[in-house]
Amino acid sequence: MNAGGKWLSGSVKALYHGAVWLAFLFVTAPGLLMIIVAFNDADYFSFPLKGVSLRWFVEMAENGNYRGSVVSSLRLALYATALSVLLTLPASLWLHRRANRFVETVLLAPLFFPLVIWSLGLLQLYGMFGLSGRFVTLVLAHTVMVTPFILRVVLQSLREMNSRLEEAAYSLGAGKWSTFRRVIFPIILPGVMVGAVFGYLISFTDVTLTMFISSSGNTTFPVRVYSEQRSEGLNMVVLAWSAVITFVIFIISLIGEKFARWSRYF
Amino acid sequence: MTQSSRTTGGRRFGVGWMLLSPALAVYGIIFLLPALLLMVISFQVNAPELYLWERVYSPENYRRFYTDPYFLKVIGKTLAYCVVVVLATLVVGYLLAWSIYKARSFAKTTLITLVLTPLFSGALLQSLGWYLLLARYGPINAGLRALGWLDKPFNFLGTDAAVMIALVHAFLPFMVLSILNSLRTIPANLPDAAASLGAGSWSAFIRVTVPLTKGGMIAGSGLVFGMTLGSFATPGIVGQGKIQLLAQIIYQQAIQVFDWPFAAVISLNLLAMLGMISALLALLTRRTGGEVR
Repeated sequence: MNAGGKWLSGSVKALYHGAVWLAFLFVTAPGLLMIIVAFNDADYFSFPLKGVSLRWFVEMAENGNYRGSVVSSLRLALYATALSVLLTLPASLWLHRRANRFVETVLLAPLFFPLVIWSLGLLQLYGMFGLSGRFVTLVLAHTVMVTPFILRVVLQSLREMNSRLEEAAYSLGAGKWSTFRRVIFPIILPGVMVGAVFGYLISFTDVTLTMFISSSGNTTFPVRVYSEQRSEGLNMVVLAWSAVITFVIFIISLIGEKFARWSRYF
Repeated sequence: MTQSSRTTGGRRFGVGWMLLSPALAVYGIIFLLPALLLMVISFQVNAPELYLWERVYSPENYRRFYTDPYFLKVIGKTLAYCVVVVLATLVVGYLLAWSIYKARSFAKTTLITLVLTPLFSGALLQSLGWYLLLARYGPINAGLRALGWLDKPFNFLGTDAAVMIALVHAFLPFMVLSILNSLRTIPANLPDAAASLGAGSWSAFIRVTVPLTKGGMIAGSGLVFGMTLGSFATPGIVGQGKIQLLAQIIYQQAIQVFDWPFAAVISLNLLAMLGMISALLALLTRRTGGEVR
């Protein structure tokens, strides 16, 4: 701040600070409002609040209506992330050795490929084989969707690793597997965990892909709320769930930035 | 190196395709195959009741797409959205990235968290937030009426401005992180050096710092452009069905009209636009010598 402060005359400086404050207000306002309105002591959304109460959180805990879809989201994200880590670890070891740009581009491609288009293709593929709406089809699609996020972080961890350690393990007679298990894996574990959390959140919050290929039986929370909102509006139980999820995501991203400085992986 | 690893019986990782094949197999079935299928289907005459091999092929869907003024209008509108959203995220994103870059370490963590939270909240929670902010009985209406600028509640939802603002908010984190990560690669003493050579701080910023972050700006713009082009949930919620962008039209054709071939044609056109933009940005990167991170 000091170095930049000299050249800014007072009014320009005030303008700059005002703009920064406004920009941060813009970034945080929707999430903040999301959390605040869930405390409303009224039967529907209103602003300013009619009063502060916890009754919608109590209702949320007791009402099993939306819990099913939240659990379904949590489960889907868990399976997809776990499967993706299992695919990503060996693939990233291969990529780290070979540095094959083509394969790397292919594996990262879903990141840049519009989800709507891919979802449409998947819908038709699953339809052709009579698999539409099965849970396993959702898991596989989500696995591919989160893989680029995990792959990027794991690859970067491998590239930051001191390769001498690996060489040392080999020269001391360790085999491939034990070198991986005892040397490489512990070093890249933080990266794998960061990647897994990234992937989990991406899968948990997805609307587009799930919207196309899920059936009413295994609908996730975001898709259920999206469709309901279009037809019957929002109710307070949904707002309570949204407040809780927003808050948890805020805490996760705070921990991730404080302890893993994970913004550098983007 | 490869020679020795071969002779020692492949002690190193990555000798075998075994490591790669599970990922490639899943990608092949779940990612590549659907994309190929779209190309095939786009030439079919719509007949969902027939098997794949019984269907009739013709370029009719493409002709219909390119001659119908409605779809050309949607393309134009979607592209206009992309341009506005990219420019707005560039300006606001640079401001945020710069203020984070200059902040002290404690504030830095908090500020980055504030930027990251919307990114991880996903399209649904973000657009619900905007839905509440802009609703007839939401805080923005309440504020404007308290100031006396509005006599009766105005429904901002369903307007172009509302959807654009929500999209800027949704994709801003990607731009901020792109620019921030390229700011981080600038040697700390470089702007000072420029200043000591007589450049004013403002001109040091414009002539030294900004050109060095061109790579981040181009990468961020590409990402935001692509995401706006394919945006689905945000226009759906904030637009309340009144704003039809390409992705909505695709969903409508596929799920409501049940015309999969036509949805495929729209999809492939969207993909072609994305390809052209990526090529353009790659060219721009090479021309300006910026490095895409």
